[in-house]
Amino acid sequence: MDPTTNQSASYFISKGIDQFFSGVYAIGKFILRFFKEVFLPPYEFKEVIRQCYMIGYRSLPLISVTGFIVGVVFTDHSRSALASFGAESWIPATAGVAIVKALAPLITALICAGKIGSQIGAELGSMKVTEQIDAMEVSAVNPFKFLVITRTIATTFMIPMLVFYSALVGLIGSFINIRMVDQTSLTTFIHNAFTNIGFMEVASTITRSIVFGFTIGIISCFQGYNAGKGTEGVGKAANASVVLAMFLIFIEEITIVKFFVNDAIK
Amino acid sequence: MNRNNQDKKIEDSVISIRELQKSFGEHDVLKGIDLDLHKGENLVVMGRSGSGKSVLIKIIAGLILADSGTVKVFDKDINRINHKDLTELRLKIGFLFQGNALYDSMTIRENLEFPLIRNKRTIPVDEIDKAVQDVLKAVGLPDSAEKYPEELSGGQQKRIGIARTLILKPEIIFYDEPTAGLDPITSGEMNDLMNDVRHQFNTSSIIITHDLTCAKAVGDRIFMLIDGKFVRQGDFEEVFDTGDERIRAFYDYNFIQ
Repeated sequence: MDPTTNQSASYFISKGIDQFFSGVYAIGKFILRFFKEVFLPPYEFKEVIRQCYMIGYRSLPLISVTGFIVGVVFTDHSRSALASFGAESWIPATAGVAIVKALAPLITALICAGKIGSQIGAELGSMKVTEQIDAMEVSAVNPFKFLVITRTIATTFMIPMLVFYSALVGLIGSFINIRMVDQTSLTTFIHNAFTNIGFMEVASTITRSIVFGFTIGIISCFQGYNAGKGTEGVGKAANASVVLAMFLIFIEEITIVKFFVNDAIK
Repeated sequence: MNRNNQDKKIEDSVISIRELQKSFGEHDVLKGIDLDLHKGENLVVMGRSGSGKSVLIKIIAGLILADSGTVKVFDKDINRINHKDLTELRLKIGFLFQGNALYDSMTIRENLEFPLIRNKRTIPVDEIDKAVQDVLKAVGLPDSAEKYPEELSGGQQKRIGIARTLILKPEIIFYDEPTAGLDPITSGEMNDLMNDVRHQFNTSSIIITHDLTCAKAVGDRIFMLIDGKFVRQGDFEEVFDTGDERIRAFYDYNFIQ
């Protein structure tokens, strides 16, 4: 073995480990700063409302389309599986549980991580690169409060709403699909779809949506706020916002479902 | 106008820097800087690109931390100041960034109102309107309030950048390359504007530039920053009346261009 290669490999491994822990430390510090400053005045209510509009209302077309398609496609796939057991009447119940509990929160969060995460990452990144964040700071305005706290609050509030909207549209898609094949009435569909959805299921969906919303907001703000120089820095910030937010959403999903939700339902 | 100011009796320092050092990794940018900015003075810092001129004013504004040395602004050490005092101090400082740093998602009015509303939360709407109109008139763009930054030329954007610093009535203004990217006529107008601002608003300024015409037009004193140190200082003639090749080359190149 070439000792030089060994040395450089160990160097890169140690550098990688160092970068990983520095990154975790920096994100931890950023989150801590969020909780330190979020309750302190001055409050930027107008900007929070503006961000809610940008993040929530402007995502409705995309969430409508994806939610509807998920509802239709899931129902179609589950029909063939359930039909082999002669259990087609279970389709509404299966669709209800799957959409409300699993598909709507996860798919909406992933879509929002892509759409909103990249938007926030690129916006803050370009503000950083063009010194607009520094300009706020030198004019005695706290840019963290105006940019980070407002956007993170907006994603934390709006993602749960988008999740429930997506679930509703998904169930509409599912009903239309069922209706096209057999003559199930809307009342029967609603009754069957919500049979297995109780308080714990809804609470689990709300909790996960809030966690996903906070993750999307804080991660994309962190990446944008700490963007590198030039257009490359903006591109990397937007990309890292999406990739890291999506990765964390999966980790959070499995952690919450495995260790909290299942235990609570049992 | 500026020549007369050179003879003005120097009063108290508003900025005092001693033994300032700053490195980025292995690269030593500032290697022991001493500087005093006096009240009402226009001080020009010249040097080549990457010589640390912008780093110097960003350290004074508290945007970058110094490695060592003291930086006092109105007798307060910027490296040891708490956040509340730094915020108060920043109300007395204006900063024109090289790229203007206007908020591109906001109109000019919103750009100007932004620092005012957030620093004076109880200010009435009519006072805000008056302040916006006053600073727009001062920079010669009274009809641009409802435009977006992208609708303005480079020179107009610089003027709005100055208007945004003026709205908080600062006592010190930092200009980072105020004439960069401007044609000679617009550069001349910018120089006139900087002199007008000084007289109208009674400000002290540090102007970062490598434009000799600008330095000559606005500077009371000129500091030449080479290899992380001030190698020469004085008025324009004093600084460039030298056999130092590094300074002569700078002068010759500028005027040949």
